[in-house]
Amino acid sequence: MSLRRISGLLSLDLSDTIRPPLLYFMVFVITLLSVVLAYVQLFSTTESLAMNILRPTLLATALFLALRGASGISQLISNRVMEVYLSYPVSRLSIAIVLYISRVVVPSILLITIPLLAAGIVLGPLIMQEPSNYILMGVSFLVQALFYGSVFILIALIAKSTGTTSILSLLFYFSYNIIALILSSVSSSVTSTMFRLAQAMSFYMTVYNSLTTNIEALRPYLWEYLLVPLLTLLSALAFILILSRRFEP
Amino acid sequence: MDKKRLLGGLMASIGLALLIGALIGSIIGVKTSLSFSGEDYLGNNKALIISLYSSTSEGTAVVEISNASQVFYISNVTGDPRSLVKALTAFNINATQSEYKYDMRLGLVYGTSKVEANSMVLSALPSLSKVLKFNIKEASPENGVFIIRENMTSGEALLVFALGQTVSYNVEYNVSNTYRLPYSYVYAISVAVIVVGILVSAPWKKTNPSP
Repeated sequence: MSLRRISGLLSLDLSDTIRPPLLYFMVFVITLLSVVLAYVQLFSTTESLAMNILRPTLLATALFLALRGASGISQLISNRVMEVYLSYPVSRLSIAIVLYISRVVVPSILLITIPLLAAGIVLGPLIMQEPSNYILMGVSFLVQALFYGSVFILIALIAKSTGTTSILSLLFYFSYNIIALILSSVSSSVTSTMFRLAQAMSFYMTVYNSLTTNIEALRPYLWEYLLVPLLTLLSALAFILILSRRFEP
Repeated sequence: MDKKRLLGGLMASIGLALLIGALIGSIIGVKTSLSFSGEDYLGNNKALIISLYSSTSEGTAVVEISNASQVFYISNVTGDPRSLVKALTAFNINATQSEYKYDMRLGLVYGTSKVEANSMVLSALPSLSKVLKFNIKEASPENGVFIIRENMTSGEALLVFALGQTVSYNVEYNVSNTYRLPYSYVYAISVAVIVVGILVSAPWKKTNPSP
């Protein structure tokens, strides 16, 4: 019974997050651009294909997560719909998890997987050579998208205002990426800790380096693999705990 | 939320994007070969570096050099040749003039650099192999023409050092595999996805059996 209520709530919230026609339009544009990119550039490794296709897609996904996912949470709070959600006869923990899945996980999976799939059709013979590396690269981009989404909805829960959430989320996204760029620019060599930190801030770069480099000194350390997944886990847990224990609409 | 309608709409959007993308791709397409040639006056204490870097493609490179006194080359080294040329400054081999191009449709960075150094240093390039951790090989001429033929995989670079007063070169690069599904297959898949998407999202009404 409780599971049915939870799936009903998930379906209700998803209908707001991924409501057409914006979703159709967005899927159409990112798929079209990915297919064109896959056609006009030569690729001979699955890692470079995934990297070139998903890097621009990640920006679009982050924008969607900030403007539709996180701002949607703020809107739920300001429109007092959140109070209705919280009055559902299910635990607050379940509601928090449902909102996390609906606002972050599902849009991230959709927007990362679809262009990957479309480019995979175009370059099918290449993908068949190393499907595991292609999937691994997709997962690494998905983890990065989940990280952005987790921070954005945490911001939404604290800011409680649609406009502030959008601005702060985008500010976070650009600051985070510019800090990574500055770190890599000022680092003395590609093996320095500063450069490694800059690379580790983008999980997909760490995975890409580990899959492509044959130089032992350039292989990522364990902490580089853990940085973004741990930050994602922490921010997701913070969102779920605040919403389920301390949140007052 | 009408899940069937959502799924159908998504499938139709993906199919349409795939179809239009394939059409655009068939118009623009990729390049599968490149050739460029030139002649450079170098004078004393200078060398010409011809670089090819297959950033995302794989293929066969053939570099022909004539009128050169000596030719060395580094092959199958990973990394951008522009950075590798810069790294040579540690040995007082300084680039004075560089010209590089990136061809996205070919997945190749190519170009030339003129470098200046003591002629002793330039002639002794192969002895720097251990210090540079690259295997610098010396090419031998055939009828006065140095020919270097290398298979390049994605991410690999080829650097050819030509020493001489006036050096002529001819470079060819042929892509070995484009790994693409034929356009007709992609058109068929995209049309099938669109049709399935429309069928899934169509509001099928159950008709009552006539009494």
